Amino acid sequence: MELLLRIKNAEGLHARPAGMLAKKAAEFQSNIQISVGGQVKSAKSIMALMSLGLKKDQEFTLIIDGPDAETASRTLSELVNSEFKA
Amino acid sequence: MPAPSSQHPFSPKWIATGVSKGIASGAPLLLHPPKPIDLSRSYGNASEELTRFAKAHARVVSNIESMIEKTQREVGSEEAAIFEAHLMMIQDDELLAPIRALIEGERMIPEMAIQKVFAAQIAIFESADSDYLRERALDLRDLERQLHEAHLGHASAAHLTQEGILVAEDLTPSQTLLLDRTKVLGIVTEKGGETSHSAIIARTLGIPAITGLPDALTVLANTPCIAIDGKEGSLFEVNGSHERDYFDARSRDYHAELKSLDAYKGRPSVTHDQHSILLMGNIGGISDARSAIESDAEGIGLFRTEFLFMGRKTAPTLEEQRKAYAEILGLFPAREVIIRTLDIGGDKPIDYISIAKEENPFLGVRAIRYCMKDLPLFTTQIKAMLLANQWGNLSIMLPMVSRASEAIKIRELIDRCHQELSGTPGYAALPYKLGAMVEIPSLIFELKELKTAASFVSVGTNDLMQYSFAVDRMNPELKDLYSPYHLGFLRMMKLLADSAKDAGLSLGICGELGGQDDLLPLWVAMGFDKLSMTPNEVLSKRRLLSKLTLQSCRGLLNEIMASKNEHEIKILLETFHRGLES
Repeated sequence: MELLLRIKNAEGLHARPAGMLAKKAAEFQSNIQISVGGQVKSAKSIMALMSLGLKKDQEFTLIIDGPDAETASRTLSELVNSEFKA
Repeated sequence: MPAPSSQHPFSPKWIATGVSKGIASGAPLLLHPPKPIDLSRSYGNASEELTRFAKAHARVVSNIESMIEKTQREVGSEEAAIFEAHLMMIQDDELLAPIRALIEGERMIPEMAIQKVFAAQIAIFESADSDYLRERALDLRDLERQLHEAHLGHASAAHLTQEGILVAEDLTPSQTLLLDRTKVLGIVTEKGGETSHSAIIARTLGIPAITGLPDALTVLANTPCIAIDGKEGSLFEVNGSHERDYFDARSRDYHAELKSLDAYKGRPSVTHDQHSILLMGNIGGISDARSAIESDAEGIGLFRTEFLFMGRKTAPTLEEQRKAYAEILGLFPAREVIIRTLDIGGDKPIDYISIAKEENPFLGVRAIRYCMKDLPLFTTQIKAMLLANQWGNLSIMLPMVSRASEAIKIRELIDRCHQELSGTPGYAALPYKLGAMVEIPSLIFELKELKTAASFVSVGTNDLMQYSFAVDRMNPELKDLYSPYHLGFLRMMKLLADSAKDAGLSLGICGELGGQDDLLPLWVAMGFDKLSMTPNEVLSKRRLLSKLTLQSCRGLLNEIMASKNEHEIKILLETFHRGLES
């Protein structure tokens, strides 16, 4: 399943939010990848997420594939939309 | 080396610069700067090299975990977040998998594999178009260094295995932050001065420290035990039991003294005849603020905001500043916290602040003179303070004010910032105070006019002396001219105090002289309302204050105002203080 999301927090996908996203993503069995502008990387890796340098208002797609894809997509979109306050 | 003099009955090996008072004795703990890594080592076999890497990696992971725990406990969870990110980075397969592949597949020694993989990743970060990401390359360099150090088996300041006196070339801010305070009895550094980061922290923590001992790491390599006196700056080799007993006793005295001061915690700061004066803390950030609470300071008389701006590539954002100010305001819900606006100049370069090279930066575009030329930077700082004010009692202090009109202009700017903020969710117009530092003598003659915009003044004594005497305080050649015992200087302080009271301004000192024992009676007599100092000076000032009476202080001040010269003033002060001891 593919999930289109937008970075809402002011500082963008910095170390802390990237870390939170990678950590959450790693909790799921599904294969979770992030795709931005033709680049596809593992969303379970903080290094990969940070190196994308996503800023506020930039859009990206999460590609989630696996048995718990439904829960994963709900959890991860909540995290992104809550501006990583969780 | 000639035998220098010391008050101790042994001859010191060295007399250097004492930067934090107190006596300590113990084994020197040598903190060597990192050696260059050895890439010429030959490859053993794959499983041996993988194990070697795994061990170094495990050590770094456990180091970072304890840093997280320590930072959370001592500094705050906000600051710990960066180490949590480090932990995730160092455990990330994007880094580990290629390193292991190089070790196993390419028969590369781990040291080389680490360097290669980190270099590639650092290149990605450094080529990013975001300042933030480019800065994160520094985090990667830090992690790489930690991995290399783990391979070399180096000691780190955070992981000392025994008690002793830390000996280092100099301490970086992060090393100082992570010092194991339960094991560091004293600090000796080869480089650094009284205002270096490690000296400030040592004073805040009450750890005796001396600096300016070149080659200390080499010279002390085979010395089993040393003692230091952070007041006179002396260092002794402790050889026999006679010396050991002596310094152990003195160090116990010092700790007993610290303990006896504890009795003054929770008491008001008053003279024997109940005349009160507030004793506040000078701080540079949140960890100092915590020491200020520990020392029972009655609020913050000077929060230097420069540290927030230094050592980074872009200015801190509104939100970053708001958080930093709110955290400190929130620690003192019932006390005043005086935050000074950015005080920088050509002598302290910051990457993103461009001040043209000046002949004389101390008389140049600095502090508010710069801020008024960079309004986006200045208004961001002001707005962050106003937003943070809901957590405490904000006072804004302006550095380098030479005339009342500057403060009046800035008051208008603050009002505009306030108007722009109104309507922001969560923002409420709360009362705040505005004040000016008195560092430039000309302001002393415009205090009435200043009162139209400001409600307090606070004397920056170091700069006021420097600008009054036209003496660079860092120039050792002119040390004698830079003296607070100058009759003219003390008369100027008296004139300032009288004028401030006439104008209806609250009056304080936030410079070094505010925390100096011998001058305290003079500030009391002149009518200062508050003195702000290094937090660990607060309790000893409170004890001294309890021995004074307003009348005795006024008597001393009158004698000094009528004296003839510096020599007489020093004698009058000495006699007065000897009289208190008996």
